[in-house]
Amino acid sequence: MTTPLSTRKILCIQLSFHEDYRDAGALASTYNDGIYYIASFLQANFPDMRLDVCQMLWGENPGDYPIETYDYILISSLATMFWSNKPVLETLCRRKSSKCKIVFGGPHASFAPHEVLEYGDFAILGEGEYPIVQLLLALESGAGIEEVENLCYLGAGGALVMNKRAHYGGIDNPMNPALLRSPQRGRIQWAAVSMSRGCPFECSFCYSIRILGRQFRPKEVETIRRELTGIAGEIGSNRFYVSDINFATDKRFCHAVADQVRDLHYKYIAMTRIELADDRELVRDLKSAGFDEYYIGVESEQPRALKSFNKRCDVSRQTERLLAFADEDIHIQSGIIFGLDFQDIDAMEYSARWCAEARISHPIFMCLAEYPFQKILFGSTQTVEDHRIIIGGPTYQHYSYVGMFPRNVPPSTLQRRILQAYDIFFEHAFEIETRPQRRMRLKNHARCVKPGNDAMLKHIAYLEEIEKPYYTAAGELKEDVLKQDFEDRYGALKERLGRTVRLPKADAAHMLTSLS
Amino acid sequence: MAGGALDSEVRLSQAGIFDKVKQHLGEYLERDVSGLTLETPLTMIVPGIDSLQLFEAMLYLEDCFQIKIGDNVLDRVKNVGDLVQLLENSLALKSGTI
Repeated sequence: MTTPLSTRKILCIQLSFHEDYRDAGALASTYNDGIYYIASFLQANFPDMRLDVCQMLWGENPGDYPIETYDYILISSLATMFWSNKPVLETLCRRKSSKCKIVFGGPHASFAPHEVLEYGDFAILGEGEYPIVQLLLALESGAGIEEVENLCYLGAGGALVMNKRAHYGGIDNPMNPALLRSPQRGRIQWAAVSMSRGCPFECSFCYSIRILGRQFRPKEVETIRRELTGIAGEIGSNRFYVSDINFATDKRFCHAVADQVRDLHYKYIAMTRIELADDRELVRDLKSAGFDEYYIGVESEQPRALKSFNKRCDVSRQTERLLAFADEDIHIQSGIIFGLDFQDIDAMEYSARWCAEARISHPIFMCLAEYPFQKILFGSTQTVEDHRIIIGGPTYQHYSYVGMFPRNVPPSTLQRRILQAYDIFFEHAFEIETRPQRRMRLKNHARCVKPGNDAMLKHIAYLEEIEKPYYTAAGELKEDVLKQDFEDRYGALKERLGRTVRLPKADAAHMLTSLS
Repeated sequence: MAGGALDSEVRLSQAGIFDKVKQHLGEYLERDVSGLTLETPLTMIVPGIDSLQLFEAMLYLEDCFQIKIGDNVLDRVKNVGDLVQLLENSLALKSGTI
């Protein structure tokens, strides 16, 4: 395609976590693939365009790039990355050319467009490949931006404008491995890759389905193989994090992937559901192809907790299924959610011990809070009300952080208990695991967790400061006081978000438009 | 679990450390590694070994030799000979001979 865009320069930036708060889960930093898929899609459409990628998670610094020379800057981030990199964003705004447009994408732009628009011109809500191409074409041709799908921007009086929303069908958009070229080659332990998008389930806490939709959309297995070999050749790592929401949704697809990649002898960790354990043949087939670890959203062993998350699974078989994975020498990482009103300290200690007994190798104890204003912006169900969510600090996406005001205990206390849960888990797990390979995985995990937990003492000090007015001596939340303060602080913002203008929704036929 | 006999490990010669490294890597990786030489790149001690397996094998050697070899060991150690040298230095430091 030949357009004026061929002469344009674009910088794509993936923001990183705060340097003080290293990735306690040793996992979240692997969610870095989105920016590469966006950049690859742009390259495929505009092959002559000059495009640079700054991967902050690999230690690259946007300040080292010639910011003044770019026509567009695209930024992807999670919530905590956004809050942790405000100085970087201020630098970009200060140094960029006056004509340069800044476009945010990824989870934080999708959930809090009003925040990213303080530093940028546009936010893309959800999958970004199509919208970014549409936006660039519209801006370059001088056409209006009202037809650009999934776009959000500021309109009259500062009100948000949300263009029509669309989900896309095919995702056979291969990552260009050359975009991963990095001075860190040889030191990169993982690369993230997407083999499918979408998940048919609807867990209440899951924001991914709001970005990627509930329609399971696998890639062509030949495309997957090409991506894997290309990336391994570029960065020198043969271990991949499969960033799909629910990789094992379609068994035929999984067998086809296994057949396609078995001879590569790479290793994979993939996100999926616990029911995979019921199909031992598939588990073994995938293991023979290198899938030796899964991230499974176990969330809790408490039936009441699972019910509250709309987690449709057979609770009574959780332990049995986890032990089945251990029998196959499959390592399991899993998020365990704390902070619900009915979870007391005994329940948390029990959960931590249960993780060891169920032979989870890598639990990530977390407190999930929604991002605020999701109901007002997107009509979403929120299990945590806006006034109980801590705004402006690390929140829902940063594993093991407490980002809300619980009702029965101050947030700093909950945060301390989360740190204690790790101690309880490791002590018990090292008693249970005897094989050196499983003990070393635990040792590795403990080494990853320690620096993050040490740094979280800073977060505890922050929580202790902000919680002071809102709790009784007995640790009960003074909800009326909190609510009133919230209204005083954010009432004007709420009113502005309430005036959001929503342009007509896409029709059903368009929602099946292929990307390719 | 190997590595209980610290005193004898400390007194090992470089050849002795090399033999122990082969023994412990073989135990950990559950593969025949008798063909390793000092020149074998760490990434090729067994076919298809990935960075995580390799790092965790280093953690196992830490336990076996009862030393600490650091998070960035794979940046500094490229082949088995480098690893043996690192272990020799660490054991000497531990025993106070350097």
